[in-house]
Amino acid sequence: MRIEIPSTDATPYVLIDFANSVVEFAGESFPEDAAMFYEPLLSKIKEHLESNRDLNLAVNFKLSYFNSSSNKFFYKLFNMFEDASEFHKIGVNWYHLEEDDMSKEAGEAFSEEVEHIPFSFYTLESL
Amino acid sequence: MSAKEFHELEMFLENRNLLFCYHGFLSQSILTPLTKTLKAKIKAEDKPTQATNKVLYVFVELAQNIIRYSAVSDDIELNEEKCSKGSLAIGYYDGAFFCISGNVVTNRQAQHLLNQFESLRDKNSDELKFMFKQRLKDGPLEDSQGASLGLIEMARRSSKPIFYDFIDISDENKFFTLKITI
Repeated sequence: MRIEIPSTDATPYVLIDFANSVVEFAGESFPEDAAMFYEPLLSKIKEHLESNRDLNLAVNFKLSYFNSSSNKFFYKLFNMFEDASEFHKIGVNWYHLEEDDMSKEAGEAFSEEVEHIPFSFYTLESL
Repeated sequence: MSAKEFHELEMFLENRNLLFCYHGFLSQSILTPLTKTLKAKIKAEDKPTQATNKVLYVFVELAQNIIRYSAVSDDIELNEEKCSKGSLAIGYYDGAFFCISGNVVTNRQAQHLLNQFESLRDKNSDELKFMFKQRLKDGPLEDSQGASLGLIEMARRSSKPIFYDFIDISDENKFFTLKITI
């Protein structure tokens, strides 16, 4: 399965590429209706994880900004990955700007919620 | 409104250290390009990156709260977007940015907000961080316990206690203002 959505001024670039073992979110996320944007993506990912076994997945988060409603969907996404970790190997790469403590803390909050998904943190000069 | 009155309004706003002030109908279609321009403008002011990111976060959160919850909204055809009435301002004073929002709310909404502010009162950054994690786990705010994720996140980015006020405007409604200092 491969889905690639270009970024807009309020929604992130999204790449879901199971053939290349990568899921990526990059840019900014503040849609008015986060459910409308994220629910379909979460469903597709969940469906694919449930109907396959032994996948390797790198999940890259390169978001310079995301609003509180997007936050809720990422939380859902990570819980989904946690459930899927029984049958798949999933790791998260969390990128944030060097001075952005809040983004780092958001990533850390997610990493503390999941036991079987390793999080790696990276700083960037710009996102 | 005469030119003189409009000029007086402008002076009124400028004298209160406001960089930007918007009053009227607000939608996501207005917010998105506004945020893009604001981001570039604040970056050009050469303030610290952390402060810039926090201002943008709070600005968007306040704006989307107006769009979502203002008791005065317009029924217009705009790709299913909501259009609501409110006011938003950003200022810079004494070395810090501040954001102010204002919109009409029902008495019920006002009570719900008051309960949330009460739960945020006097909380330090560790306690707010804990509330943030707890809200993520518990899901959307249903009852009167605690505060919404958006409010908690704004409180975390605020360098001073959140300032809020409710002014009676009718039997059913109040005018709600919220000020966040970054």
